[in-house]
Amino acid sequence: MSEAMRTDAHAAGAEVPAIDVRHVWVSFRGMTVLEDVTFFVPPGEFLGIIGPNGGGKSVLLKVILGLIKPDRGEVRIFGRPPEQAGGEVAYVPQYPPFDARFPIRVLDVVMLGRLGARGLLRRHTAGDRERALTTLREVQAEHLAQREIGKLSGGQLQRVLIARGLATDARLLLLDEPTASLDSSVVGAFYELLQRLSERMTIVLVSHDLSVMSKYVRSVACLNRTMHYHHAREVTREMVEEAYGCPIDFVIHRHSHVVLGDHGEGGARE
Amino acid sequence: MIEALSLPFFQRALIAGLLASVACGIVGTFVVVKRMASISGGLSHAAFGGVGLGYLAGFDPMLGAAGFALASGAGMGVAWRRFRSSLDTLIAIAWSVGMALGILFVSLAPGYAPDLMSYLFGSILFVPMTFVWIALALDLLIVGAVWLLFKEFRAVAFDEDFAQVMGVPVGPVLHLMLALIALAVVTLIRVVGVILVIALLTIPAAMARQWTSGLQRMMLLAVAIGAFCTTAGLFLAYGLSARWNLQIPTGPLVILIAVAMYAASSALHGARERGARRPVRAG
Repeated sequence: MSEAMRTDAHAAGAEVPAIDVRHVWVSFRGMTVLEDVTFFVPPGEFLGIIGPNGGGKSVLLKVILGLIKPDRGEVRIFGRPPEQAGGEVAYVPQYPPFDARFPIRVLDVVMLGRLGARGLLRRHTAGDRERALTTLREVQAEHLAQREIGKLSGGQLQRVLIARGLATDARLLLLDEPTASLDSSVVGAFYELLQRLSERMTIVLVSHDLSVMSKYVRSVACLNRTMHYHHAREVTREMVEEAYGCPIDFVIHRHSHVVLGDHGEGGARE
Repeated sequence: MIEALSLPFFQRALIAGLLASVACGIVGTFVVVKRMASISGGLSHAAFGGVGLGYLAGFDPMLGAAGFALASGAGMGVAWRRFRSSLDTLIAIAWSVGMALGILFVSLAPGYAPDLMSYLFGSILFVPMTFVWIALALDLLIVGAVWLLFKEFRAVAFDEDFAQVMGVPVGPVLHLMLALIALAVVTLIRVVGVILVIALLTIPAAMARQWTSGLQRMMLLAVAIGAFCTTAGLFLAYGLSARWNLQIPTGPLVILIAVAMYAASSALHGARERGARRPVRAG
Protein backbone atom coordinates (compact mmCIF):
# COMPACT_ATOMS: atom_id res chain seq x y z
CA MET A 1 0.00 0.00 0.00
CA SER A 2 1.48 3.32 -0.97
CA GLU A 3 1.74 6.26 1.32
CA ALA A 4 -0.84 8.16 -0.68
CA MET A 5 -3.35 5.31 -0.45
CA ARG A 6 -2.94 5.02 3.30
CA THR A 7 -3.39 8.73 3.78
CA ASP A 8 -6.52 8.63 1.66
CA ALA A 9 -7.92 5.69 3.58
CA HIS A 10 -7.21 7.49 6.78
CA ALA A 11 -8.86 10.67 5.58
CA ALA A 12 -11.91 8.75 4.42
CA GLY A 13 -12.20 7.19 7.88
CA ALA A 14 -12.11 3.71 6.37
CA GLU A 15 -10.10 2.42 9.32
CA VAL A 16 -9.53 3.92 12.74
CA PRO A 17 -5.78 4.25 13.20
CA ALA A 18 -4.21 2.14 15.92
CA ILE A 19 -2.24 5.20 16.96
CA ASP A 20 -3.07 8.75 16.04
CA VAL A 21 -0.69 11.37 17.39
CA ARG A 22 -1.32 15.01 16.55
CA HIS A 23 0.95 17.94 17.24
CA VAL A 24 2.33 16.51 20.43
CA TRP A 25 4.84 18.58 22.39
CA VAL A 26 6.61 17.34 25.50
CA SER A 27 9.24 19.16 27.48
CA PHE A 28 11.04 18.45 30.74
CA ARG A 29 12.50 21.33 32.72
CA GLY A 30 12.40 23.62 29.72
CA MET A 31 14.04 21.06 27.40
CA THR A 32 11.88 20.17 24.44
CA VAL A 33 11.91 16.39 24.02
CA LEU A 34 9.16 16.01 21.44
CA GLU A 35 8.44 18.83 19.03
CA ASP A 36 5.18 18.92 17.14
CA VAL A 37 5.12 15.17 16.56
CA THR A 38 2.33 14.13 14.23
CA PHE A 39 1.82 10.69 12.72
CA PHE A 40 -0.62 7.85 12.59
CA VAL A 41 -0.14 4.11 12.53
CA PRO A 42 -2.74 2.08 10.65
CA PRO A 43 -3.95 -1.14 12.25
CA GLY A 44 -1.84 -4.14 11.35
CA GLU A 45 1.30 -2.08 10.90
CA PHE A 46 4.66 -3.31 12.12
CA LEU A 47 6.61 -0.11 12.68
CA GLY A 48 10.16 0.34 13.87
CA ILE A 49 11.18 3.69 15.29
CA ILE A 50 14.87 4.47 15.26
CA GLY A 51 16.70 7.51 16.52
CA PRO A 52 19.64 8.58 18.63
CA ASN A 53 19.71 8.13 22.38
CA GLY A 54 17.86 10.98 24.01
CA GLY A 55 15.89 11.51 20.84
CA GLY A 56 12.62 10.99 22.68
CA LYS A 57 11.81 7.41 21.65
CA SER A 58 10.93 6.17 25.12
CA VAL A 59 9.07 9.38 25.90
CA LEU A 60 6.97 8.98 22.77
CA LEU A 61 6.04 5.43 23.81
CA LYS A 62 5.05 6.66 27.26
CA VAL A 63 2.92 9.40 25.72
CA ILE A 64 1.16 6.79 23.60
CA LEU A 65 0.65 4.65 26.71
CA GLY A 66 -0.80 7.61 28.60
CA LEU A 67 1.98 7.47 31.22
CA ILE A 68 3.20 10.94 30.23
CA LYS A 69 0.76 13.73 29.49
CA PRO A 70 1.88 15.86 26.55
CA ASP A 71 2.12 19.63 27.13
CA ARG A 72 0.18 20.12 23.94
CA GLY A 73 -1.38 17.91 21.31
CA GLU A 74 -3.61 14.87 21.19
CA VAL A 75 -3.15 11.12 21.25
CA ARG A 76 -5.78 8.59 20.22
CA ILE A 77 -5.49 4.82 20.52
CA PHE A 78 -8.05 3.14 18.29
CA GLY A 79 -9.95 6.42 18.44
CA ARG A 80 -9.88 6.74 22.22
CA PRO A 81 -7.68 8.70 24.63
CA PRO A 82 -4.93 6.48 26.12
CA GLU A 83 -6.47 6.55 29.61
CA GLN A 84 -9.57 4.87 28.22
CA ALA A 85 -7.67 2.34 26.18
CA GLY A 86 -6.98 0.08 29.19
CA GLY A 87 -6.37 -3.45 28.00
CA GLU A 88 -6.05 -2.43 24.33
CA VAL A 89 -2.38 -1.67 24.62
CA ALA A 90 0.46 -3.75 26.00
CA TYR A 91 4.04 -2.76 26.30
CA VAL A 92 7.43 -4.20 27.02
CA PRO A 93 9.61 -1.71 28.89
CA GLN A 94 13.27 -1.13 28.21
CA TYR A 95 14.47 -1.39 31.78
CA PRO A 96 12.37 -3.45 34.13
CA PRO A 97 10.86 -0.65 36.22
CA PHE A 98 10.43 -2.87 39.26
CA ASP A 99 12.51 -4.09 42.16
CA ALA A 100 14.20 -7.39 41.30
CA ARG A 101 13.74 -8.45 44.92
CA PHE A 102 9.97 -8.28 44.71
CA PRO A 103 8.55 -11.62 45.86
CA ILE A 104 6.70 -12.74 42.77
CA ARG A 105 6.97 -15.73 40.47
CA VAL A 106 7.20 -15.61 36.71
CA LEU A 107 3.71 -16.98 36.17
CA ASP A 108 2.23 -14.27 38.40
CA VAL A 109 4.14 -11.60 36.49
CA VAL A 110 2.71 -12.85 33.22
CA MET A 111 -0.74 -12.98 34.83
CA LEU A 112 -0.48 -9.21 35.29
CA GLY A 113 -1.14 -9.11 31.58
CA ARG A 114 -4.61 -10.51 32.34
CA LEU A 115 -5.49 -7.59 34.63
CA GLY A 116 -7.16 -5.72 31.81
CA ALA A 117 -9.46 -8.68 31.20
CA ARG A 118 -10.59 -8.93 34.83
CA GLY A 119 -12.16 -5.91 36.44
CA LEU A 120 -11.83 -4.78 40.04
CA LEU A 121 -12.89 -7.34 42.64
CA ARG A 122 -12.83 -10.14 40.05
CA ARG A 123 -10.62 -13.18 40.53
CA HIS A 124 -8.39 -14.55 37.82
CA THR A 125 -9.80 -17.64 36.15
CA ALA A 126 -8.21 -20.90 35.11
CA GLY A 127 -8.40 -19.54 31.57
CA ASP A 128 -6.17 -16.63 32.56
CA ARG A 129 -3.62 -19.06 33.91
CA GLU A 130 -3.79 -21.19 30.77
CA ARG A 131 -3.30 -18.08 28.66
CA ALA A 132 -0.28 -17.01 30.71
CA LEU A 133 1.29 -20.46 30.29
CA THR A 134 0.61 -20.39 26.56
CA THR A 135 2.38 -17.07 26.13
CA LEU A 136 5.29 -18.31 28.20
CA ARG A 137 5.51 -21.25 25.81
CA GLU A 138 5.50 -18.83 22.89
CA VAL A 139 8.65 -17.16 24.18
CA GLN A 140 10.18 -20.51 25.21
CA ALA A 141 10.09 -19.67 28.88
CA GLU A 142 7.51 -22.15 30.12
CA HIS A 143 10.06 -23.93 32.27
CA LEU A 144 10.57 -20.67 34.19
CA ALA A 145 6.92 -20.36 35.28
CA GLN A 146 7.58 -21.10 38.95
CA ARG A 147 10.91 -19.28 39.11
CA GLU A 148 11.20 -16.17 41.25
CA ILE A 149 11.54 -13.02 39.14
CA GLY A 150 14.76 -12.00 40.87
CA LYS A 151 16.45 -15.27 39.86
CA LEU A 152 16.26 -14.76 36.10
CA SER A 153 19.03 -13.70 33.76
CA GLY A 154 18.58 -10.51 31.75
CA GLY A 155 17.51 -12.38 28.64
CA GLN A 156 15.08 -14.61 30.54
CA LEU A 157 13.53 -11.58 32.21
CA GLN A 158 13.12 -9.88 28.86
CA ARG A 159 11.28 -12.92 27.49
CA VAL A 160 9.02 -12.96 30.55
CA LEU A 161 8.18 -9.27 30.07
CA ILE A 162 7.36 -9.97 26.45
CA ALA A 163 5.11 -12.83 27.55
CA ARG A 164 3.40 -10.46 29.96
CA GLY A 165 2.70 -8.11 27.07
CA LEU A 166 1.39 -10.97 24.93
CA ALA A 167 -0.88 -12.29 27.65
CA THR A 168 -3.04 -9.19 27.34
CA ASP A 169 -5.94 -8.91 24.94
CA ALA A 170 -4.14 -5.95 23.44
CA ARG A 171 -4.46 -5.08 19.77
CA LEU A 172 -1.41 -2.87 19.98
CA LEU A 173 1.99 -3.93 21.30
CA LEU A 174 4.69 -1.36 22.07
CA LEU A 175 8.25 -2.46 22.71
CA ASP A 176 11.09 -0.28 23.95
CA GLU A 177 14.53 -1.63 22.96
CA PRO A 178 13.34 -5.20 23.56
CA THR A 179 16.54 -6.82 22.34
CA ALA A 180 18.88 -4.72 24.47
CA SER A 181 19.54 -7.53 26.94
CA LEU A 182 19.12 -10.49 24.59
CA ASP A 183 22.01 -12.58 23.35
CA SER A 184 22.67 -11.88 19.70
CA SER A 185 22.04 -15.56 19.03
CA VAL A 186 18.37 -15.27 19.99
CA VAL A 187 17.68 -11.84 18.51
CA GLY A 188 16.73 -13.32 15.14
CA ALA A 189 14.30 -15.77 16.75
CA PHE A 190 12.85 -12.92 18.75
CA TYR A 191 12.14 -10.84 15.65
CA GLU A 192 10.61 -13.85 13.96
CA LEU A 193 8.27 -14.16 16.92
CA LEU A 194 7.34 -10.48 16.52
CA GLN A 195 6.79 -11.04 12.83
CA ARG A 196 4.36 -13.89 13.57
CA LEU A 197 2.59 -11.72 16.12
CA SER A 198 2.31 -8.88 13.66
CA GLU A 199 -0.16 -11.05 11.75
CA ARG A 200 -2.65 -10.52 14.55
CA MET A 201 -1.72 -7.20 16.13
CA THR A 202 -0.24 -3.79 15.49
CA ILE A 203 3.33 -3.56 16.69
CA VAL A 204 5.50 -0.53 17.30
CA LEU A 205 9.09 -1.19 18.20
CA VAL A 206 11.67 1.31 19.34
CA SER A 207 15.28 0.45 18.77
CA HIS A 208 18.62 1.91 17.86
CA ASP A 209 19.53 -1.34 16.16
CA LEU A 210 18.53 -0.38 12.64
CA SER A 211 20.51 -3.10 10.92
CA VAL A 212 18.69 -6.07 12.43
CA MET A 213 15.34 -4.44 12.92
CA SER A 214 14.90 -3.25 9.35
CA LYS A 215 14.94 -6.87 8.14
CA TYR A 216 11.69 -7.60 9.90
CA VAL A 217 9.57 -4.48 10.29
CA ARG A 218 7.20 -3.26 7.61
CA SER A 219 8.06 0.40 7.95
CA VAL A 220 10.61 2.55 9.67
CA ALA A 221 10.34 5.99 11.22
CA CYS A 222 13.09 8.19 12.59
CA LEU A 223 12.65 10.20 15.73
CA ASN A 224 14.94 12.88 17.00
CA ARG A 225 12.68 15.36 18.75
CA THR A 226 10.73 15.53 15.50
CA MET A 227 9.26 12.54 13.70
CA HIS A 228 10.12 11.44 10.17
CA TYR A 229 7.76 8.77 8.99
CA HIS A 230 6.64 8.05 5.48
CA HIS A 231 4.87 4.73 5.94
CA ALA A 232 7.58 3.04 3.99
CA ARG A 233 10.18 0.46 4.75
CA GLU A 234 13.20 2.10 3.22
CA VAL A 235 15.13 4.56 5.25
CA THR A 236 16.03 7.52 3.15
CA ARG A 237 19.18 9.52 3.42
CA GLU A 238 17.12 12.60 4.24
CA MET A 239 15.24 10.87 7.04
CA VAL A 240 18.36 9.74 8.77
CA GLU A 241 20.17 13.00 8.26
CA GLU A 242 17.24 14.90 9.65
CA ALA A 243 16.73 12.47 12.49
CA TYR A 244 20.31 12.13 13.57
CA GLY A 245 21.24 15.66 12.64
CA CYS A 246 24.61 14.57 11.42
CA PRO A 247 26.24 13.52 8.17
CA ILE A 248 25.06 10.17 6.94
CA ASP A 249 28.46 8.53 7.04
CA PHE A 250 28.40 8.71 10.80
CA VAL A 251 25.15 6.81 10.97
CA ILE A 252 26.30 4.27 8.43
CA HIS A 253 29.41 3.78 10.42
CA ARG A 254 27.42 3.08 13.55
CA HIS A 255 25.10 0.69 11.77
CA SER A 256 27.75 -0.77 9.58
CA HIS A 257 25.52 -3.38 7.92
CA VAL A 258 23.07 -0.87 6.60
CA VAL A 259 23.38 0.48 3.14
CA LEU A 260 21.01 3.30 2.74
CA GLY A 261 19.25 3.54 -0.56
CA ASP A 262 17.26 6.27 -2.12
CA HIS A 263 13.63 5.37 -2.57
CA GLY A 264 13.50 2.12 -4.40
CA GLU A 265 13.51 -1.55 -3.60
CA GLY A 266 12.20 -1.77 -0.04
CA GLY A 267 14.44 -1.95 2.97
CA ALA A 268 17.70 -1.27 1.22
CA ARG A 269 20.36 -3.11 3.08
CA GLU A 270 23.25 -5.38 2.66
CA MET B 1 5.16 -17.25 84.09
CA ILE B 2 2.16 -19.21 82.89
CA GLU B 3 0.12 -17.80 85.76
CA ALA B 4 0.15 -14.49 83.84
CA LEU B 5 -2.38 -16.03 81.47
CA SER B 6 -5.03 -15.98 84.16
CA LEU B 7 -4.72 -12.23 84.68
CA PRO B 8 -7.42 -10.32 82.73
CA PHE B 9 -5.11 -7.41 81.87
CA PHE B 10 -2.50 -9.83 80.54
CA GLN B 11 -5.08 -11.66 78.45
CA ARG B 12 -6.22 -8.36 76.98
CA ALA B 13 -2.64 -7.37 76.20
CA LEU B 14 -2.00 -10.75 74.57
CA ILE B 15 -5.08 -10.46 72.36
CA ALA B 16 -4.23 -6.86 71.48
CA GLY B 17 -0.73 -7.92 70.52
CA LEU B 18 -1.97 -10.74 68.30
CA LEU B 19 -4.47 -8.44 66.61
CA ALA B 20 -1.79 -5.81 66.02
CA SER B 21 0.43 -8.51 64.49
CA VAL B 22 -2.16 -9.19 61.82
CA ALA B 23 -2.15 -5.53 60.79
CA CYS B 24 1.63 -5.33 60.99
CA GLY B 25 2.26 -8.45 58.92
CA ILE B 26 -0.13 -7.68 56.09
CA VAL B 27 0.55 -3.98 55.80
CA GLY B 28 4.24 -4.42 56.60
CA THR B 29 4.59 -6.73 53.61
CA PHE B 30 3.56 -3.91 51.29
CA VAL B 31 5.74 -1.46 53.21
CA VAL B 32 8.76 -3.69 52.64
CA VAL B 33 8.21 -4.68 49.00
CA LYS B 34 7.22 -1.17 47.93
CA ARG B 35 9.95 0.41 50.03
CA MET B 36 7.63 2.64 51.98
CA ALA B 37 9.41 2.37 55.34
CA SER B 38 10.14 6.07 55.56
CA ILE B 39 6.57 6.88 54.57
CA SER B 40 5.25 4.74 57.39
CA GLY B 41 7.70 6.35 59.80
CA GLY B 42 6.42 9.73 58.66
CA LEU B 43 2.83 8.62 59.18
CA SER B 44 3.38 7.38 62.70
CA HIS B 45 5.23 10.51 63.79
CA ALA B 46 2.62 12.72 62.14
CA ALA B 47 0.05 10.79 64.19
CA PHE B 48 1.68 12.13 67.34
CA GLY B 49 0.34 15.57 66.38
CA GLY B 50 -3.13 14.07 66.67
CA VAL B 51 -2.31 12.60 70.07
CA GLY B 52 -1.37 16.08 71.26
CA LEU B 53 -4.51 17.60 69.79
CA GLY B 54 -6.55 14.99 71.64
CA TYR B 55 -5.00 16.10 74.95
CA LEU B 56 -5.60 19.77 74.15
CA ALA B 57 -9.15 19.49 72.87
CA GLY B 58 -10.15 16.79 75.32
CA PHE B 59 -10.97 13.87 73.03
CA ASP B 60 -9.42 10.41 72.86
CA PRO B 61 -5.80 10.88 71.69
CA MET B 62 -6.08 7.65 69.63
CA LEU B 63 -8.86 9.29 67.62
CA GLY B 64 -6.58 12.25 66.99
CA ALA B 65 -3.78 9.87 65.98
CA ALA B 66 -6.07 8.11 63.50
CA GLY B 67 -7.16 11.44 61.99
CA PHE B 68 -3.64 12.76 61.64
CA ALA B 69 -2.29 9.48 60.24
CA LEU B 70 -5.06 9.22 57.64
CA ALA B 71 -4.73 12.88 56.63
CA SER B 72 -0.96 12.68 56.22
CA GLY B 73 -1.40 9.37 54.38
CA ALA B 74 -3.63 11.17 51.88
CA GLY B 75 -1.07 13.95 51.57
CA MET B 76 1.74 11.48 50.95
CA GLY B 77 -0.36 9.71 48.34
CA VAL B 78 -0.54 12.93 46.38
CA ALA B 79 3.18 13.53 46.87
CA TRP B 80 3.98 9.98 45.75
CA ARG B 81 2.19 10.50 42.46
CA ARG B 82 3.14 14.08 41.71
CA PHE B 83 6.40 14.95 43.39
CA ARG B 84 8.26 11.66 43.46
CA SER B 85 11.58 13.47 43.36
CA SER B 86 11.02 15.50 46.51
CA LEU B 87 9.06 12.81 48.37
CA ASP B 88 11.95 12.19 50.74
CA THR B 89 11.98 15.80 51.92
CA LEU B 90 8.20 15.90 52.27
CA ILE B 91 8.30 12.80 54.47
CA ALA B 92 10.90 14.41 56.72
CA ILE B 93 8.68 17.49 57.03
CA ALA B 94 5.54 15.49 57.93
CA TRP B 95 7.63 13.46 60.36
CA SER B 96 9.00 16.43 62.32
CA VAL B 97 5.96 18.69 62.04
CA GLY B 98 3.83 15.91 63.56
CA MET B 99 6.16 15.62 66.54
CA ALA B 100 6.43 19.42 66.90
CA LEU B 101 2.65 19.87 66.83
CA GLY B 102 2.16 17.04 69.31
CA ILE B 103 4.57 18.53 71.81
CA LEU B 104 3.15 22.04 71.26
CA PHE B 105 -0.42 20.84 71.85
CA VAL B 106 0.51 18.83 74.92
CA SER B 107 2.33 21.78 76.49
CA LEU B 108 -0.67 24.03 75.84
CA ALA B 109 -3.06 21.49 77.35
CA PRO B 110 -4.01 22.14 80.96
CA GLY B 111 -2.42 19.96 83.62
CA TYR B 112 0.07 17.17 83.27
CA ALA B 113 -0.03 14.44 80.64
CA PRO B 114 0.91 11.39 82.68
CA ASP B 115 0.58 8.76 79.96
CA LEU B 116 2.32 10.71 77.19
CA MET B 117 5.21 8.24 77.32
CA SER B 118 2.80 5.43 76.58
CA TYR B 119 2.04 6.98 73.19
CA LEU B 120 5.72 7.39 72.44
CA PHE B 121 6.79 3.89 73.47
CA GLY B 122 3.54 1.96 73.76
CA SER B 123 1.73 0.50 76.73
CA ILE B 124 0.17 -2.74 75.66
CA LEU B 125 -0.03 -4.06 79.23
CA PHE B 126 -2.65 -1.47 80.05
CA VAL B 127 -4.87 -1.51 76.97
CA PRO B 128 -8.58 -1.07 77.70
CA MET B 129 -11.08 -3.55 76.27
CA THR B 130 -12.33 -0.90 73.82
CA PHE B 131 -8.93 -0.95 72.14
CA VAL B 132 -9.21 -4.70 71.57
CA TRP B 133 -12.47 -4.11 69.69
CA ILE B 134 -10.97 -1.23 67.70
CA ALA B 135 -7.95 -3.34 66.75
CA LEU B 136 -10.27 -6.16 65.68
CA ALA B 137 -12.31 -3.78 63.51
CA LEU B 138 -9.16 -2.30 61.91
CA ASP B 139 -7.85 -5.81 61.24
CA LEU B 140 -11.07 -6.81 59.54
CA LEU B 141 -10.88 -3.67 57.41
CA ILE B 142 -7.27 -4.33 56.42
CA VAL B 143 -7.73 -8.05 55.73
CA GLY B 144 -10.96 -7.38 53.84
CA ALA B 145 -9.45 -4.69 51.61
CA VAL B 146 -6.37 -6.76 50.80
CA TRP B 147 -8.49 -9.88 50.19
CA LEU B 148 -10.81 -8.09 47.78
CA LEU B 149 -8.18 -6.09 45.92
CA PHE B 150 -5.21 -8.43 46.16
CA LYS B 151 -4.39 -8.54 42.46
CA GLU B 152 -4.62 -4.77 42.15
CA PHE B 153 -2.48 -4.20 45.24
CA ARG B 154 0.12 -6.61 43.95
CA ALA B 155 0.13 -5.10 40.47
CA VAL B 156 0.54 -1.56 41.78
CA ALA B 157 3.18 -2.57 44.30
CA PHE B 158 5.13 -4.44 41.63
CA ASP B 159 4.90 -2.20 38.55
CA GLU B 160 2.78 0.94 38.65
CA ASP B 161 3.28 1.80 34.99
CA PHE B 162 2.15 -1.57 33.70
CA ALA B 163 -0.80 -1.61 36.10
CA GLN B 164 -1.87 1.76 34.76
CA VAL B 165 -1.60 0.64 31.16
CA MET B 166 -3.77 -2.36 32.09
CA GLY B 167 -6.46 0.04 33.30
CA VAL B 168 -5.94 -0.46 37.05
CA PRO B 169 -6.86 2.76 38.92
CA VAL B 170 -3.33 3.19 40.26
CA GLY B 171 -3.94 6.46 42.10
CA PRO B 172 -6.89 5.23 44.18
CA VAL B 173 -5.18 1.90 44.91
CA LEU B 174 -2.07 3.71 46.18
CA HIS B 175 -4.20 6.00 48.33
CA LEU B 176 -5.99 2.99 49.78
CA MET B 177 -2.65 1.33 50.48
CA LEU B 178 -1.49 4.42 52.38
CA ALA B 179 -4.78 4.57 54.28
CA LEU B 180 -4.25 0.94 55.34
CA ILE B 181 -0.74 1.81 56.50
CA ALA B 182 -2.21 4.69 58.50
CA LEU B 183 -4.73 2.34 60.14
CA ALA B 184 -2.03 -0.19 60.94
CA VAL B 185 0.06 2.58 62.45
CA VAL B 186 -2.83 3.49 64.76
CA THR B 187 -3.11 -0.12 65.90
CA LEU B 188 0.61 -0.43 66.47
CA ILE B 189 0.99 2.85 68.39
CA ARG B 190 -0.75 1.20 71.31
CA VAL B 191 1.67 -1.72 71.23
CA VAL B 192 5.08 -0.17 70.62
CA GLY B 193 4.43 3.59 70.44
CA VAL B 194 4.87 6.25 67.79
CA ILE B 195 8.63 6.00 67.69
CA LEU B 196 8.90 2.23 67.30
CA VAL B 197 6.03 1.59 64.88
CA ILE B 198 8.36 1.67 61.90
CA ALA B 199 10.28 -1.29 63.33
CA LEU B 200 7.20 -3.53 63.60
CA LEU B 201 6.12 -2.58 60.09
CA THR B 202 9.45 -3.55 58.58
CA ILE B 203 11.31 -6.17 60.62
CA PRO B 204 8.79 -9.07 60.59
CA ALA B 205 8.01 -8.55 56.89
CA ALA B 206 11.68 -8.23 55.94
CA MET B 207 12.40 -11.46 57.81
CA ALA B 208 9.46 -13.18 56.12
CA ARG B 209 10.80 -12.05 52.73
CA GLN B 210 13.95 -14.09 53.31
CA TRP B 211 12.02 -17.35 53.51
CA THR B 212 9.16 -16.89 51.03
CA SER B 213 8.83 -16.06 47.36
CA GLY B 214 5.23 -14.93 47.12
CA LEU B 215 3.27 -12.08 48.65
CA GLN B 216 0.59 -14.19 50.34
CA ARG B 217 3.03 -16.45 52.15
CA MET B 218 5.19 -13.49 53.03
CA MET B 219 2.15 -11.89 54.69
CA LEU B 220 1.27 -15.02 56.65
CA LEU B 221 4.81 -15.54 57.85
CA ALA B 222 5.16 -11.85 58.78
CA VAL B 223 1.96 -12.09 60.84
CA ALA B 224 3.32 -15.17 62.62
CA ILE B 225 6.66 -13.52 63.33
CA GLY B 226 4.94 -10.37 64.60
CA ALA B 227 2.70 -12.48 66.84
CA PHE B 228 5.70 -14.32 68.24
CA CYS B 229 7.59 -11.08 68.95
CA THR B 230 4.70 -9.33 70.70
CA THR B 231 3.87 -12.43 72.76
CA ALA B 232 7.48 -13.01 73.73
CA GLY B 233 7.85 -9.32 74.60
CA LEU B 234 4.80 -9.46 76.83
CA PHE B 235 5.98 -12.51 78.74
CA LEU B 236 9.46 -11.04 79.09
CA ALA B 237 8.08 -7.74 80.45
CA TYR B 238 5.84 -9.64 82.85
CA GLY B 239 8.64 -11.93 83.94
CA LEU B 240 11.10 -9.11 84.54
CA SER B 241 8.50 -7.32 86.57
CA ALA B 242 7.39 -10.35 88.60
CA ARG B 243 10.83 -11.83 89.20
CA TRP B 244 13.11 -8.82 89.60
CA ASN B 245 10.63 -5.99 89.95
CA LEU B 246 12.03 -4.34 86.82
CA GLN B 247 9.43 -2.10 85.18
CA ILE B 248 10.38 -2.21 81.51
CA PRO B 249 7.90 -1.13 78.84
CA THR B 250 6.88 -3.94 76.51
CA GLY B 251 7.40 -1.96 73.28
CA PRO B 252 11.20 -1.79 73.35
CA LEU B 253 11.38 -5.46 74.38
CA VAL B 254 9.23 -6.48 71.42
CA ILE B 255 11.47 -4.53 69.03
CA LEU B 256 14.70 -5.92 70.50
CA ILE B 257 13.39 -9.48 70.24
CA ALA B 258 12.40 -8.80 66.62
CA VAL B 259 15.82 -7.37 65.78
CA ALA B 260 17.61 -10.30 67.38
CA MET B 261 15.46 -12.71 65.35
CA TYR B 262 16.11 -10.71 62.21
CA ALA B 263 19.85 -10.87 62.74
CA ALA B 264 19.71 -14.64 63.24
CA SER B 265 17.44 -15.06 60.24
CA SER B 266 19.73 -12.98 58.01
CA ALA B 267 22.75 -15.01 59.03
CA LEU B 268 20.94 -18.29 58.36
CA HIS B 269 19.55 -17.03 55.07
CA GLY B 270 22.94 -15.78 53.95
CA ALA B 271 24.53 -19.13 54.75
CA ARG B 272 21.82 -20.97 52.85
CA GLU B 273 22.17 -18.72 49.80
CA ARG B 274 25.92 -19.22 49.76
CA GLY B 275 25.40 -22.95 50.08
CA ALA B 276 22.91 -22.95 47.22
CA ARG B 277 25.25 -21.00 44.98
CA ARG B 278 28.21 -23.28 45.40
CA PRO B 279 27.28 -25.98 42.87
CA VAL B 280 27.46 -24.06 39.62
CA ARG B 281 24.34 -24.59 37.56
CA ALA B 282 24.02 -23.90 33.90
CA GLY B 283 21.67 -21.14 32.81
